This record gives sequence, C-alpha cells and structure tokens, in this order.
Amino acid sequence: MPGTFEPLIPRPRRRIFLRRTERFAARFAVYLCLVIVTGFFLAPLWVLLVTSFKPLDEIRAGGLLDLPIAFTLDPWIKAWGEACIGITCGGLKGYFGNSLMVTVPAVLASVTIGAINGYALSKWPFPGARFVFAAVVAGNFIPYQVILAPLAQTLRITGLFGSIEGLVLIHAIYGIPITTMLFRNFFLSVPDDLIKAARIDGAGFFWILFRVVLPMSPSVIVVAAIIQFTGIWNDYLFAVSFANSQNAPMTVALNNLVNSNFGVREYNVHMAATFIAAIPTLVIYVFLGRFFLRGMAAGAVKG
Amino acid sequence: MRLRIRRFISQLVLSPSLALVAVFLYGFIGWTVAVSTTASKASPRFDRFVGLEQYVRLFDTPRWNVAFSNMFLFGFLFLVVTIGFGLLIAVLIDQRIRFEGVFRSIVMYPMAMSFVVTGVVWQWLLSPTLGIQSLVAGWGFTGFHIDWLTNPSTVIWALVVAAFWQGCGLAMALFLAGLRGIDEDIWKAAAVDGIPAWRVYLHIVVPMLAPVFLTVIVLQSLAIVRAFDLVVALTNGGPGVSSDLPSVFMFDMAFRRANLGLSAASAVVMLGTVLAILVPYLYVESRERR
Amino acid sequence: MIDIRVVDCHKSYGQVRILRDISLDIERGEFIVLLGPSGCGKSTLLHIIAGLEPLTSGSIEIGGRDVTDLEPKDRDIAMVFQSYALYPTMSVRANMEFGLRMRGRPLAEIRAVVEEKAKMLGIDHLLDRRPSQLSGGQRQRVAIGRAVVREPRVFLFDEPLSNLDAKLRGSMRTEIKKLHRRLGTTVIYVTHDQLEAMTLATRLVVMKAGVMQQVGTPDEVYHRPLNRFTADFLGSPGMNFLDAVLRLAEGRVWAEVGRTVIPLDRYAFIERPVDGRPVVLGLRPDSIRPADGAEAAFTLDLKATLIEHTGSENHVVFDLDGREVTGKFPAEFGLEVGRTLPVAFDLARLSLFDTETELRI
Repeated sequence: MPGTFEPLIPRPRRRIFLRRTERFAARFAVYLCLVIVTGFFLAPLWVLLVTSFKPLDEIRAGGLLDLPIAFTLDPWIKAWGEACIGITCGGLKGYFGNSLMVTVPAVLASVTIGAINGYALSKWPFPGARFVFAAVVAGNFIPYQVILAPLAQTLRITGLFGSIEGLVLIHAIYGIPITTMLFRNFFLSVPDDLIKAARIDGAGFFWILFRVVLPMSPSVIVVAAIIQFTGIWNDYLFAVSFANSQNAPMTVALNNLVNSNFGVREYNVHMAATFIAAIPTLVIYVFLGRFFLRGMAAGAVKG
Repeated sequence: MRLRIRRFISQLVLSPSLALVAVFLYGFIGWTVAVSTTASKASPRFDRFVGLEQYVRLFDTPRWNVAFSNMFLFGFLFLVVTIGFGLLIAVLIDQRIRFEGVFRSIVMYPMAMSFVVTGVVWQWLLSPTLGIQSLVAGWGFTGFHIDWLTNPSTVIWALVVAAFWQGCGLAMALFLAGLRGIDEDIWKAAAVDGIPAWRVYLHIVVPMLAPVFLTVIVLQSLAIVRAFDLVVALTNGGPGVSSDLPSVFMFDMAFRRANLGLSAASAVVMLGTVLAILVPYLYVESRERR
Repeated sequence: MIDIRVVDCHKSYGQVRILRDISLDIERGEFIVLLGPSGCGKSTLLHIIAGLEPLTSGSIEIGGRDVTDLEPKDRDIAMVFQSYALYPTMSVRANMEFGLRMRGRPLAEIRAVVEEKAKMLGIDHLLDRRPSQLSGGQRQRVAIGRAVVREPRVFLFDEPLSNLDAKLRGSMRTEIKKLHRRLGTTVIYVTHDQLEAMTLATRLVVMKAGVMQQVGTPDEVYHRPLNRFTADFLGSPGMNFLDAVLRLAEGRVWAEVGRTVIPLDRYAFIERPVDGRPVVLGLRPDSIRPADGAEAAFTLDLKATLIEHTGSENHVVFDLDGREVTGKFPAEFGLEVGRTLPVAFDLARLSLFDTETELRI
C-alpha cells in the first residue's frame, strides 16, 4: 500500500494525527527527491531528442530543453544518409549495417559456445573442471589493453585486420568467458537427476543439452544474448583498433562524426546520429528490461 | 571404445574454447609482458631486451603520470559520487513508492547507452555556449558557469558526471537488491525498540550491506581502470592531456606513436592495477564462502 | 537364473573410499533393497549399476552380459529418482515417450505402449499436463510410468518415496509391491527407511560406510543380524543391548547380566562358547512381553520405569539391575509406572555379539 512503511513508525496512540502529517511530509520529500533524480537521468535523453528535431539556428539561440519550434526531420535524414564521416558522405546507414553484421553473428557464436561450455562444465564435470572454469572466467576481468597489441599483430598475420570477419571473431572469442560463466552458473541449478534420467533414457551429450536443458533455460539465453548484444554493439575499443574506415561500426562512425574538426558543427545531425546509435540497445532495454538488469549485474565484470 | 569417447566428451567439447582462451588471453598477456621488457618500437623486437627500462621510462613520462594519477582521482571521485547517490536513490526507491518500476527504469536506462553515446551527449550538455551553462544563464543566473570541458583542473568532473550518469544504475540496482535482501524482522525489531528510520539505515542496514559495497567498489573500479571510450568521446584526453587515462595513453603509444614497448609496459601496469583490486577481493570472497 | 552380478566392486573419489568389496548376485525377479544410513554408499552402488558413475575396479553383469563399460542406455535398465527427475518442459506424455523415441521405436508403437502403461498406473488422464501441474503422488506415478514403458530387464529405484508425506508413502509402497508382483521384473531399491525395506524386499542388503554388512531376507536380517550395526539399524524401538558374560555351568551355557543369569540353551552359537567371555546380548523389544503364566518362558520380575503410548502398543522401559530394557506391550495391557510385574523373554530370538568386533557369535 502506498504511504505506509509501518515498520519504520512507532505508534503511540495519542500522536496519531501528528504522525499522519509527519508521514505526509516524509512521503512528499521522498517523491520530491525522486523527481529531481528522474530529471537528472532523463534530461540528457530529452535534450538529445529535442535538439535532433531543431534547425541549427534555433539551437544556437539557446533553449536547451525547449521543444522544437520549427520541427524538422532533416537532421535525421542527413545523419542516416548524407552526413560526412571521414572522407565519405553516405551518413550512418552503412555503419549501422556494419554494426549489425558484427554484432549478430558474434552474439550467436558466443552464446552458443558459452551454452555448450557452461553445460559441459556444470553437468559433465571432470577432474580439473573447476580449474578450467576459473581460468576461463578470469578472462572477464582482464583489461583488454593488455591483449590489444598482440591481437592486432595476429589479425595482421591472418589477414583479418580491418575486416568485419575479424571483429566478429574477436567479439566471439572474448565473449566466451562471460557467456560460459553465465550458463555454467545457471546450469548448476538444473538438477543432476534430470541429466541422469535422460542418459538412462538414451539421450547423449548434445541431445540432453538441446532437448532437456536448454528448453528449461530461456531466461539465461536471453540474458546472455542481451549482455553480448549490448556489449558488442556498444564496443568502441576493438572497433577503433581493428576496423578499417569502411568496415567501422556505429560507435566509431559516431565519434568520428561528432568529434571531427572540419566544417560547421551540425549539432542537430550529431544528436540524431547519437540517438540512432543508441536505439538498438535502448529498444532492448525497454522491451527486455527485466533480463537486461540481470545481465548488467552479471556482465559488469566484463572488460 | 564408445564409452571412452563419451567419458571425455566434456573435455573434448571444451578444448576449442580452452585453446582460444589459452592463446588469446594468457598467450597474449604473456606476449605483452614480454614486449614490455624490450625496446620494441613499431613492431615487436624480442631480441632487444632491456629489462625494466620501459617501466622506468613510463613513470618518467609526464603524460603517463598525469594519466595514471587521473585514474585514481577519477576513480575516487566516481566511487564516492556513485556509491553515495546510488545508495541514496536505492533507499528512496525502497520506500514502497508508487511507480517504483518507472523510477527504477529511468535511473538504469543509461546503462544501455554506449560510452561513446554518453560522452557525446555530455559533451553537448557541458558545452559552455549551448549547454547547461547557457540554459541556466537564460534563466537569469548569468554568473553560473560550468567550464569543466575547457578547464584542465576541473575537467575530471566532466568524466565523473558522465560516468555517474551511465553507471549509477548498476550501483543503485545492486544496493536495492541488497536492501530487499534484508530481513523484514530487522525493521520490526527496530520499530519495537523505537529506533528512528534514519538511524536504522545508518547503524544497522548500511553495515549489513557491506558485501554489496565491496561488490560495487570492485565492479566500478574495474570499469574505471578500463575506461577508454568515455574519455575519447567526451574530452579526447583534453584540454591538452589533462583528462588522459592510462587506457588512452596505451592506445596512443601502441597505434599512433609506434612505441610498442612503452605501450606494453603501460598495459601491464593496468593489468597490475586490476589484479591489485581483484586478488584481495577474491581472497575475501573465498574466505567468506568457507 | 542370475540377473545381475556385482563382482568385487570398489569405488573411490580420490583418497575417499566410497565402496569396498561389493559382490552381490541377484536372481531374476528379486526385489533387492539396499538399506543403510545416509552416506553408506547405497545410492552410489545403484548409480554404478545404472552406469551413471564409473567404478574404480570390479565389474557389473546384467543378464549375463558384462556391462561395466556400457552406457546406461545400453544396460537395459530404467530408473526412478528421488526427485522424480521429470523433464519440466515436456508433457507427461512426452516424458514417458522420450526414452522410446531415443531408441527409435515406431511412433504408433510408442503411443500404444504409453497409453497402456498410463492406464495401468492410473495416470492416463494426466498425459497432457506438465509435471509442474501434478501433485507429488502423481509425479511419482509418472516417474514410475516413464520407467515402466521401456519394459527394461531391471528397475532401479533411488529413494523414490522419500519426498512424499507419510500417508502417501504408505500407499505408494503398496503399489510398488503390486507392480513388482505383476511385472515380475528384477528391482533394486535404495532406501534408508526400514519399514519400506522390510515390507518390499525379497532380500535386503544392509550397508554401512561402503561395506555390505548383511544380505538376507528381511526375516533373517531382522532376527539373525550378523553384527551389532545391523541389529541396531533395524527395528523400532531399537534392540536392547546388554553387556553380559558367558558362563558354562551344569553342562549348559548362560549369560550373566549383572545379578541375572539367562539360559542360552536355544541360542545357535556360531563360535564355541567360552566361559568368562564378555559379550553383548541383544534382545528385540518384541521379544519382551507380559508373562501370561501359561508357557514355560523365561520370566523375570521387573519394575516399569517409563511408558510410551503409541496407540497400537505401549513401549515399556524396565529396570534390569540398573540397565534399561524396552519391551513392547499390548495397548490394552493395564500398567502404570513403578509397578513390578513378571515379564517374559523370548530367548529363541536373542542375539549375541562380540564386544570388540561386534560380530554375531
């Protein structure tokens, strides 16, 4: 019930009226604070959105928080299809595609590998399985700077440097620790008796995974996919280190667009571009927020 | 014979991943550590062993020292702000409020944003001519100014605010989960004893949340050591090198200045910092579990 | 005909030895119960027979075939788990069909078998439900159904009733017994519940710390326990143990318990009795009853010090020279604490154990 947090309030009978007003004041203070907090967190998104629909002269006139007077879609059109990033002027659409082409296969691969690894480690343990798990999970904590240079070297040798395939491969590999950890920890809660029953029924390693274990685990699959999608879509370090300008994903393109020093700074286009870059992960957050939170808590360890 | 394969299927299935992890994590770490002891420039030269010279040179490099101390300053400010406000917001949301889900979602949605997006947004908000400063000036407070992005001595606050906006949700969520995990009977007992709410929070609840504090500190510290995109998008290390961080330094040395040896040394120092945070934490964790 | 043969089975995890020297021949159609306290290795033995765990040394034969290195699915067994282990994402029907489908049986045949067995177990109306929609007893039936449809050579039960409440446990016990009688399949059944063990088993295997203590019919194990552990583990209230000394006098053997002397004429000694040997004398409470005066039983006048009413009978604690002895008295036998009365001992049913080795002598 709203307005009550009974355990907090002692109840002497004669002060009942006073208590009510006190309580009202306390509630008011709580909501006031929350509104301020909400303002802080929402304002950037709001500014982003309104600015992206304003013409440049309106922006220069100030009124950061105001709704656009002369509402225009031009910044969005320009950001998507015409804005100059580096030497090409095709907008973000190509880079959006690059991001998708990197993210989707890398998510599928790392989630699949993580599910199989987690299943093997938790349900088919062997001597040393705990050590193997620790060795893999430690990968979550390592700052990627420490593997960046040798990784670049390896990509050059294999001819994958600059390519989309190279980025997919890297994201898939460095996704293994987190997905393995997630699945392994989740599968620990799947009763061993189920695996035994399925073995007696004649199912093998992969049959049990796909017919018995995975159907029980939709939530962890979603969580793993969200962590990976968000992480890879939002990745900048690998992208800026290894992708050539033609294969760069959104984060790199956005940074190049906004922080380039050439020409007039078209803030409205920048804001539209920023919003476009944030849309996929925001959509996931809005529709799958419940899983998103669980994923973030688990994925926060990741480099 | 078939049983043999079956018995080892687990190892068999895991071996490709293990091989990848062995090479791409541990092998590469070894590579970097090795390179940090050589005078490698544009390409690795393992024949030019110089011992710890690169580390000596690293801490003689003013830019690195700025970056390295920035990491601690940024980390300290960010942790204080995030933990303080994260806990406060969690406590507010825990007051059995209406629309709790809405408030929670609003605090946490920035987590979905990339650091590049975060950096770009805050660069805009903190821009002196068009951002918050001009907004407040427009309200009549002409004396108000935030020059964080252009003032080398306060630029760190730009990083702190942006990082707080992005990362507060995680701290808040962890604290909220911690608060929800506290036995209701504690509150009832405190009510019976007539202890006011704020005292219960300060003297009973906060100490009970110690493990959550530890988790938040460790997770956020790891994020700080690795922070890279935010700086690149928000300040690009500037003005000058005043908001440089080790990750930016490392990246510059490796990919722009062709100084692999020095870059490797800086990367190893970053790894060392992470280990210095992590090893005691894992030690405490494993001891508590026993 | 021997159906299952366990030969010199050993199992250890690292330094910890879970099973030692297990050898056991099981005849076709037997109902073998593995009984023992938790941690005695009975479940491990069952899992080894199932092929779910490898053994350290030894071998397992099922139906004359060495199955030691075979996968569970190739051993012609089915198993019912304590947790039921029903696949939560599948319907009851799919749960029962799964094993047959894995074996690639024709679909029509699978359908028919599942329908038939479901009817037999009275779960045919539940076939389209999910396990989560079933009660504990229903889940138990489905778990049994999943085992039964495969028509295996051996059924393995791993504490199948311990998750049920007492009343349901009783009725399921009866049903399992009926099922065994009807199908005639060999059963190995693990439990720590002696009531289940006594009522279900054709033969009982009592285990402790990875070692078999005694194998025999419930009657044998109950009345002729081979060691003090077995004697103590079975029966409720537990067997009375009294320190005694053997006496040879007048050409007869006696047991001296304090100042009381008990004749052992009807005891079948395994070892030659030696005068002065200290022993432990074991007497089941059921062998201690009110003396009716008619028969020439061994009778002592004892004082009742405590009476426990269980409804159907009373457990009466007597004082025997400062030692406590519990007897089972009919509930209708009027008795109050402090009274001294003649108590009859059925000496044909007593046991004697060595004080050191605790083995029957």
